[in-house]
Amino acid sequence: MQLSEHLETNLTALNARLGSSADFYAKRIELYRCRGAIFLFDGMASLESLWELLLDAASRQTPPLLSGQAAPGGERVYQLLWEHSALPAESAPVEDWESLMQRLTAGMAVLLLDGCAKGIAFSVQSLKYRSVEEPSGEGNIRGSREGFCDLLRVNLSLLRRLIRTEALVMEVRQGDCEMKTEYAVCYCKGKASPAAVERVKETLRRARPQMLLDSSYFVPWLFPCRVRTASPVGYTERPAVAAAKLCEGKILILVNGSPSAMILPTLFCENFECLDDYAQPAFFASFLRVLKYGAFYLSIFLPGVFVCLAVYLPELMPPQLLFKIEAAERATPLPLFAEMVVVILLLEVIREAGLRMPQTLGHSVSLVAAIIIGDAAIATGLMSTPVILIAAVASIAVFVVPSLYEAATIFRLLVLLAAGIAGPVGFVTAALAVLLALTRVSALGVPYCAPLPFPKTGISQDGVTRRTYRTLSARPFTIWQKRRKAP
Amino acid sequence: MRKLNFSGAAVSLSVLTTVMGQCILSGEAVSARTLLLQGLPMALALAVISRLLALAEVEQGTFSGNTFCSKLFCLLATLWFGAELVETLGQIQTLCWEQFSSMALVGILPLLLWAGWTLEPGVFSRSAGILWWAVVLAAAICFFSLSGQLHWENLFPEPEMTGPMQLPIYAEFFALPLFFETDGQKSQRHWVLPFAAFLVQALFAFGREAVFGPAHGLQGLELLRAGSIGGIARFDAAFLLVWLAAALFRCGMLVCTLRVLLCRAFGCGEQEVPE
Repeated sequence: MQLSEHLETNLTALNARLGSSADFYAKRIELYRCRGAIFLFDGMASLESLWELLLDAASRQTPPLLSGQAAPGGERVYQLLWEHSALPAESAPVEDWESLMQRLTAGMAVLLLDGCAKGIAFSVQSLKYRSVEEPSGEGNIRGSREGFCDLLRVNLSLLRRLIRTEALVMEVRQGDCEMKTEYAVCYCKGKASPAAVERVKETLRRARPQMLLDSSYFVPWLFPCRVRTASPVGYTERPAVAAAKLCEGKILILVNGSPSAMILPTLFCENFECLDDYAQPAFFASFLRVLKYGAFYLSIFLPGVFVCLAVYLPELMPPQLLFKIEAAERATPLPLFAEMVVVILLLEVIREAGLRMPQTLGHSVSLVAAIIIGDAAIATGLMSTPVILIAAVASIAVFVVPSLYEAATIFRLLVLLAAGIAGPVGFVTAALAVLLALTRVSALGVPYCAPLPFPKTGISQDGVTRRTYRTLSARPFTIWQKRRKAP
Repeated sequence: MRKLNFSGAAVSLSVLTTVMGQCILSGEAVSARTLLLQGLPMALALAVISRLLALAEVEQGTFSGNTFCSKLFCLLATLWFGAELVETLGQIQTLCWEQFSSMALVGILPLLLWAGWTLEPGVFSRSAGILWWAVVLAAAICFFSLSGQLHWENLFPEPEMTGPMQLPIYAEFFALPLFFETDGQKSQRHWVLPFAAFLVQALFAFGREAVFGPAHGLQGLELLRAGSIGGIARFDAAFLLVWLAAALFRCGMLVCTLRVLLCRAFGCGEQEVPE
């Protein structure tokens, strides 16, 4: 709906819409002898800045009114202000209510004049936001310590500061949701596939989330499916990581109010990489990656293998180990399979409790969980030590690859249930199901698990192991091209 | 129309899995000498036939399903691949029952058929590389566990009277263009598949002869059981589990192929699902 020429009509309408809000600030003023009103939200826009930059300057420059001369109308004053180069006015006028609300909620002050159906927005934002800090969820030893904060514009500026070329495009749109949240689609021209960028933009434009609080809310629209075991997207809170991914031709989605940037498409192997990998010697980084792969598969398969061997194939175990397990199990009332399921579920409950509760209580809960529950369960003979040990190793191992936590937990339970119910055949079937579930995922035509022709490139240049950064840099990689073999 | 675009790794894994299954479960021993004298020329002949057929099939569009003849070929191939599916399922069931006393295949079967029917061929191709590594690793462990037990003097004893050997023949050898529909060159390159099958047979035959001597009627499984490293034995179970995974993979792949062949034989239009 368009704004009215009459200030009173606009004021009445605005008061009806926002008048009951405590933070809504409206004040009648006179500029160049023309009646007007300024509007802003308290705490989002700075009245001091507005006074210094607009009102003071305008009142000092008001020309004297000669006798018989009529006061200038709203249109004339609008033109004067619009052409006044010293004022921090936005480049586009405010012409309708939607635009007015957009500017006000972005922390701007809007000036409406009597006799003019257009308003001027002034950039006098003074938004309070979390400062640029190191993200707690993504630790690294070397490299940038900066993390995204919650304000979209600040996050975009962090990216712009890192990629100082015209190739970086950051398109900001408003989500079609109740809160009208802004989001940004970022990509590097010439590196990202234009078709993929268009597809993502179109999908997001059509998406109708009820609310948009994080970039992950877009996943069901980007990759619609009934059951999602693994998502071909990655998340980062580090501008340095986001910039590196953009340079690989990937697309980044940032949502206002969330520090978490979605990267798509992402490969399975990228979950095992981190910033430090490229700052360390290649052989050591490769060693760590192999360890991470090992830990990930251990976290999925270890409980299942243990149950399968101990219950169905005890003859495969070395006798000493078998005797110890047998002795421990004899003292417990539950069967080994049930014990393992209970312990794994209990560990998930403890993890969730530790994550959600206030940090001041977190340590107490960890202590109670680790010492009292674990120790008491063994002492009372409810659980056996080998089962708790295996479940604990599997639970800890998954934290080596936190981005795959959800998938690993589901897969671990699936493998465990299959192995416990159907023995070795069930275990093998579940393992194959895990493999097929990972390989069937693809995003924008890029398979999550890249096809590695056996045995030629099983260990790629930057996959399970990596070559020196000099070799990798000789042939810059983008996700849309196949990496050729280095000379 | 949906096209099959399996990778070479997927097709070769599928074929070699069933060859391995035969070697593991079969008690019929063929001497290494017979294998070399009879098997090698047979494999060569089979490879040449496979190559020539692949050339002709690509040119004629044998599996396109556009003509009556093509539909007929698709129907025949369906029957052959169906028989192979049943044979592989039989191998799995035999192994599960004999080695693990398990009837779990009955429960898994519907899931397996559903997966094979719904999954895209690309999924099998991407999984094949990883399964290959598992197979190679398991085979390597089994081989090293036999060190010290391989008596090479047992190989090639005095010529004994043995009957003619049978080289396994699979539908895949004669339908290579069907598996590589998006890349005709691939079907030309994979004419060596019969040689690979022969190689697996030869490895088992040589191993059995080197470990157990010339005169025996033991299953190939006994060869796997013979290995041990330190105090740890029974590597056969680890190998069998990997083989089981590969065999289930083969079943899924065969179901995927059967779906395409049935659609072509009966002319049901099927849209290719974009990834």
